[in-house]
Amino acid sequence: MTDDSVREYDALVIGGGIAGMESALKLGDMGYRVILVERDSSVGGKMVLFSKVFPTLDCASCISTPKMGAVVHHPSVTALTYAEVESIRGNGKGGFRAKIREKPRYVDEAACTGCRQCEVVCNVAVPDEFNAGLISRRAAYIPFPQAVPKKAVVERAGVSPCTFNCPAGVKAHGYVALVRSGRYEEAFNLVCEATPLVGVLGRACYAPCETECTRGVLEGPVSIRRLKRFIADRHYADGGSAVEIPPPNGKKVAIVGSGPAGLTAAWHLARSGYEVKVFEAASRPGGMLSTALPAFRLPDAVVQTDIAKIVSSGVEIVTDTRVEDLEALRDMGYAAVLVATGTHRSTRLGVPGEDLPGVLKALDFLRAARSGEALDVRGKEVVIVGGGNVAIDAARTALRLGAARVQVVYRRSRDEMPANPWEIDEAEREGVRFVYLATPTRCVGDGCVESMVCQPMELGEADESGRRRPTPADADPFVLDAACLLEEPREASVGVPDIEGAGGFLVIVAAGLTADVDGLGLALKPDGTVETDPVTLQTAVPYIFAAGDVVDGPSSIAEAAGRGRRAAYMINRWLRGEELDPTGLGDVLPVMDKTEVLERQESYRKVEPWRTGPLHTGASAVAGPLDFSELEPPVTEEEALHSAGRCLDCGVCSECRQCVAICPADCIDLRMSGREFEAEVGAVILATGFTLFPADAKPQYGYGRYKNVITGMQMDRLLAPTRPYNDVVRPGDGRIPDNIAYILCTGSRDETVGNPLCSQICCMYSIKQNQLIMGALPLADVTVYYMDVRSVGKGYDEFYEQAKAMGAGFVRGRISDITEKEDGNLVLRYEDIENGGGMVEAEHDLVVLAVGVQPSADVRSVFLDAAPSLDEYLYLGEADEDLDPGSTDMPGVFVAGSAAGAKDIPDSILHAGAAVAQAAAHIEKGRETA
Amino acid sequence: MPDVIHTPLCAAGHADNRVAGHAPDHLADRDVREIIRDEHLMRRPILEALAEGPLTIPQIAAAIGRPAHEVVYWVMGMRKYGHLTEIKEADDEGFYLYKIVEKEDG
Repeated sequence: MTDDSVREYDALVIGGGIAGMESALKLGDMGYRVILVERDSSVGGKMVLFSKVFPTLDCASCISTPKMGAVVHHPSVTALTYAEVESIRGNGKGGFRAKIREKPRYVDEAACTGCRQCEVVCNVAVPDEFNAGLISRRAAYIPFPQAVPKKAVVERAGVSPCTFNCPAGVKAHGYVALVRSGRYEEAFNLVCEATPLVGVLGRACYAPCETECTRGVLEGPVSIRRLKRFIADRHYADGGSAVEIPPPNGKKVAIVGSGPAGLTAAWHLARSGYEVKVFEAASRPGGMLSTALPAFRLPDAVVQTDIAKIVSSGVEIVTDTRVEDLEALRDMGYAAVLVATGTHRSTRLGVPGEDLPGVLKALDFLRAARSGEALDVRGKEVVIVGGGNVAIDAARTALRLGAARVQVVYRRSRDEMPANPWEIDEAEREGVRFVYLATPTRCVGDGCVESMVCQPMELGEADESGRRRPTPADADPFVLDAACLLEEPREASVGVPDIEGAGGFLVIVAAGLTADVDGLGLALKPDGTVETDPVTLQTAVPYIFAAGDVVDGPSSIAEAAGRGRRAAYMINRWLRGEELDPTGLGDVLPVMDKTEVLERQESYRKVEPWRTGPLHTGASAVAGPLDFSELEPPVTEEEALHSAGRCLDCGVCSECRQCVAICPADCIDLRMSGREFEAEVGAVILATGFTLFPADAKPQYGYGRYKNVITGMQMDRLLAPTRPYNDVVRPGDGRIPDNIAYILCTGSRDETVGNPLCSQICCMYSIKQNQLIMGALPLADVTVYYMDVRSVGKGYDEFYEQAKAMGAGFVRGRISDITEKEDGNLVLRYEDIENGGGMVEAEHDLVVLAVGVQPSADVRSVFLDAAPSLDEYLYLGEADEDLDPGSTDMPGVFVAGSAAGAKDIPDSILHAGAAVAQAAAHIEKGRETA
Repeated sequence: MPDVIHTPLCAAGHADNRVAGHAPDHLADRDVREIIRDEHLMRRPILEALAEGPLTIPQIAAAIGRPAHEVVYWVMGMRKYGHLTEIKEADDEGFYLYKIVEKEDG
């Protein structure tokens, strides 16, 4: 969302740490209008996360929080947290035009009470950067207890690829995360938010979620579809929870057709309070689910169980009722009608002889097989014409009914087959043979089909579908007939009637399906499907909508369900007199980039999928007769947890919506968007602070490998009142340490890492920690390894002496390397400078690396014109740090605090004062010249 | 593209997936983000281990068959979100015992 109005301020302060807050407060106190922009969700910077400050040992958060509260509530200061300055350019009047983006918190800041319930129910754990990675936080989080503002944030990096690619709109990442947490019923209910066909999709979905799963780049995708099967099986085995039925809204909707689109639409409309009646022409509801999909892929009980759930929501389904007059439904009081009749008309081959007995339509064949009235194909040679999933289903069904041999004839090559590759694989394993690059030219027979003449084909240029177009090859036609029989007939598993008039050779045509809506009076497209608005699914007759295959042509169950969901959404809006705006249906964020996801970790443990290769293991070992029992084995809880544990949480927030459900203030909105606006400012103060030296850049100290080597910041968190652990304990095993080592100057005064500067603070914060440790752990020994201790500042040297008097040991010597013992203790090697210079080893049970600081000058990239210069150490440069502190070489741009160089807290505040004075002078000068 | 390292699979008892020579020994530990991501998955085994009574981190680690340093992340996360708490005093070896927080709704 972009706000076109330009806001005006006297000063822009970038960074909400101690220097930024001080700058904003002082300018505000002077009466200047200030906008402060902090990228984190709270002001306070690093200072508020410290245990105490040196040398006074005041509680850091106690002295930070008054300033944090003051800056947020100051009448002259607009403090934006979770916001970023996107760009700054000169405005030609001595000031600047800044573009500022407020990132979406996905939480209504005004309504959030900071109760943390969203955190507690969140199912995604990530490292807590506010506790230096020592513990987890949640995707929904409040950064730390003293946060100002104390408002939750939901971290959404993007839409997880699995969710983004689900045509049914199922929050796939969400239910995977819920399974991982053992919250199976919540997972089931989350799928129901998109479609009630949980059991069906758990078995028969072609799982585009898995195709795009980031884990697929590693060992293989998460078995997302099977997790859906698991939660459905679990839900129904446990008896299922009752469906909440809202009070009726007094309006009736008719749905024609009870396939995936119609059923999904009925479910959503019923849950919106409509009285929904579904009219089904067949004797059983479910459309293709009940009549065409073979039971070995989708058992009938699964379909009927899902349908029973839909009925329990108040939906009425009438079967054996063909609707031929839509207007009559209107007359019966239905305010809207949804046509979702699917594609039940088989496409003809268009070759001579196709009406001979023994030439069957695949859909009729599958329907008969499903209903138990299957045709007797025992001992017969069966040829299937087509390359889609219906063809494969027909082929595998024919094998189960006892066909002697089944061949699939397809006019393109295997690569172009529309059937799912794994379905083809499994058909091959069961014994189906494939004849590629051939097309029938006529069916031949005397009284019944006896043979089929085929023309060899070759592939030419790609057609409109993107597949290479088949054209007749320069080769002689060939004949398929019963004489091709090479095997003894298989034993059929079911008793079936004979095929009237058929011989030993059968042709089953699976050349495509089209809609069958003649007589309904709807406008049709050239392919016979219904014409609708592609977005609203509304037909030319306003109260009639159409969705699913009857509009789109043959598609998948998930696609049809997604269209049904859309139709329900649009019908609901239309009946409420609202604009048919699809905004509420889609994702508000882009899909996550997989590379970005994978780069979050330096390494990945290999975790294979639970099973690889064909899931339908029954099909791969065709020793005995095939039957129609379900091929895919059920999912055990162990498998489900293993699979869910492989999820990488690509989007961070999984959209499981548990936070939405539990929030007592109803303040979480996962569809929230950010805001952008521009501001005219007279001056800019850069208070972006510093970054800590990455301790793993000194590999000889083992940080990141040795469990009991931590950084000074981590120790500060362990010592803080809001510490992540219950005490100062070792991260390696939770034991209280009793012999702690400090290594000063880690990454500072060190040319080997490119940082010759003293960090100014690591001596003193280490000494502060020494004293705090000796207070918290009276029995612990503390040894500080140093080159020299720099205690320059009021009371600093006294503070140092006090630590020594309390018992802290100080050993002069640079540590050369550390090794880890089996018990997690650490052996330090150093040159003992004060005792002759020999190499000495010392064992400690916890090592603290007193890391130095580094410049954080990324802020320069926001300047679109000239940017302030850096000094030789890459800190923001000051024009003259002795005579003109706080001024950069760019008029109107000032720097405050450690963005200009390492400083302790008092010096940062002093320096901010200098920057404020400089900025005020610049603002006043601008006013004089205006 | 990060390295894919191969280390033994989890306590679920699957085959050892280590591939000789694929990963340097020093990478045998898991990335912190990966460990933390398992917190929800490990909650139940940890609670089951504690059902018999309070345990230290190493004792929990032994009970569930996972490294102690990983258990520290999970136990502390569970403590943060109200599933566990410590018994006030550490034992003689310097380890705290952790126990299940009994909730009103069971």
